[in-house]
Amino acid sequence: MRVELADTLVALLGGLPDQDGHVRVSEIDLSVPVEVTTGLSGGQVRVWAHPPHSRWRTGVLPPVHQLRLRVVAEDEAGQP
Amino acid sequence: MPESTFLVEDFLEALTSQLDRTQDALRLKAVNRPLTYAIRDFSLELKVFVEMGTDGQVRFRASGPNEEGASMVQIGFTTVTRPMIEENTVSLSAVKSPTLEELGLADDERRRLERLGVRNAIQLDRLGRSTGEATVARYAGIPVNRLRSALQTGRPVVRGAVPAPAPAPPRAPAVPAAPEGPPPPAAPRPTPRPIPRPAPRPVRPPTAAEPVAPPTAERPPPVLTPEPGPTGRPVAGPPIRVPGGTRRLRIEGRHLADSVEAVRLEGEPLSVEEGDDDGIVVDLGDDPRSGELHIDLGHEGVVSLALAIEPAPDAEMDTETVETETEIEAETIGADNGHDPWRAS
Repeated sequence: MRVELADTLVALLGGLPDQDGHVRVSEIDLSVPVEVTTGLSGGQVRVWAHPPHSRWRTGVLPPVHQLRLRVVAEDEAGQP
Repeated sequence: MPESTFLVEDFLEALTSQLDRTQDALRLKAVNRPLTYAIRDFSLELKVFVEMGTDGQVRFRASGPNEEGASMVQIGFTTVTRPMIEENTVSLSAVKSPTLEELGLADDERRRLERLGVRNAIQLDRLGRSTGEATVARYAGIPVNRLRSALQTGRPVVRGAVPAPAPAPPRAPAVPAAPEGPPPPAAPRPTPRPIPRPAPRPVRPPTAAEPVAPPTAERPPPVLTPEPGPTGRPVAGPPIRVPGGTRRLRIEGRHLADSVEAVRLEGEPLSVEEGDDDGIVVDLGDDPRSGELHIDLGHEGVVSLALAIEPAPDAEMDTETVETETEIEAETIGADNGHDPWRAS
């Protein structure tokens, strides 16, 4: 099953800790291996990116690409 | 979905679309949470095979399983503010200009001009004016006469003017239903007054000596001679005749909506109410008069048309109607008093 890049990013960010506790996270850097595939859907180019199926090198699975994400915490006004 | 090659710009647009969806989801989460996260930077190291299509465009193909020799492309995205976008993008007014495809240029000619930063008629015209058409033709590999023909196609043209129909009136708001209750008593109907009918007029058959009168001939329209314009120069072409009472005038042509800067009638500015690529509609005002209509196309010059306003037909019709009613009234009075209007005196 293929997952779109946006859904993968939302799931990644959803797993980050909430800012309810006494420790506040201001910035997070993520480096995530993903399998990226592209194709045409509805006449437009679509990008699917999701964590790899397995850590084993099988020779039949798509190659793994590196995704880096820098996330900052913001309040309602968009201020860090 | 089978793997396929794709243009670089299509791939970047697809990535941007995915990031926009992610940002929208985070924004929704921020409705109920005072503090949330936002993506500041995003980068993707992509293993792709770079190919050059037959059309000369660069295409990517994501590497498949067990494929070696793929290129590494690192694509990075960052958040930008609105002023940064406005500084680094083309103005919307330039985007409204006809595209190179609309000018009749072939695909390879269009791509060669895009490499020079030209994507529409305004940019091509600006480049030609600053560097010369021969220079543009040499760098783009397009013949000079081909470029001139394309520029001519993109220039605004005025073909003529016709009266425009009045816009549809806005729909009246729905009247709220009256509160329920006993219906009011119906008012008594007045008895109708008998309407006196005039006596029939006898028809005399035509005699041999008297020719049959032909049906009422239409009055020939008055010939209007347009007055000379403020410049004193005669206006080329026959005058455009519009019936009296015309409030809106549609000026027809090509590429007018984005080119017309001002419209004046005998020096008086007219407001442009609406427009599209085939013409614009101007408001002539309550009491327009015949004269010279100037259409200012900016650096393309001024086009002049002679406008002739014909007298309103309603004034003539009202006079005839009053005369007919007067005749009927006179005959009716005669019948009521016992006077036979047909008896020879």
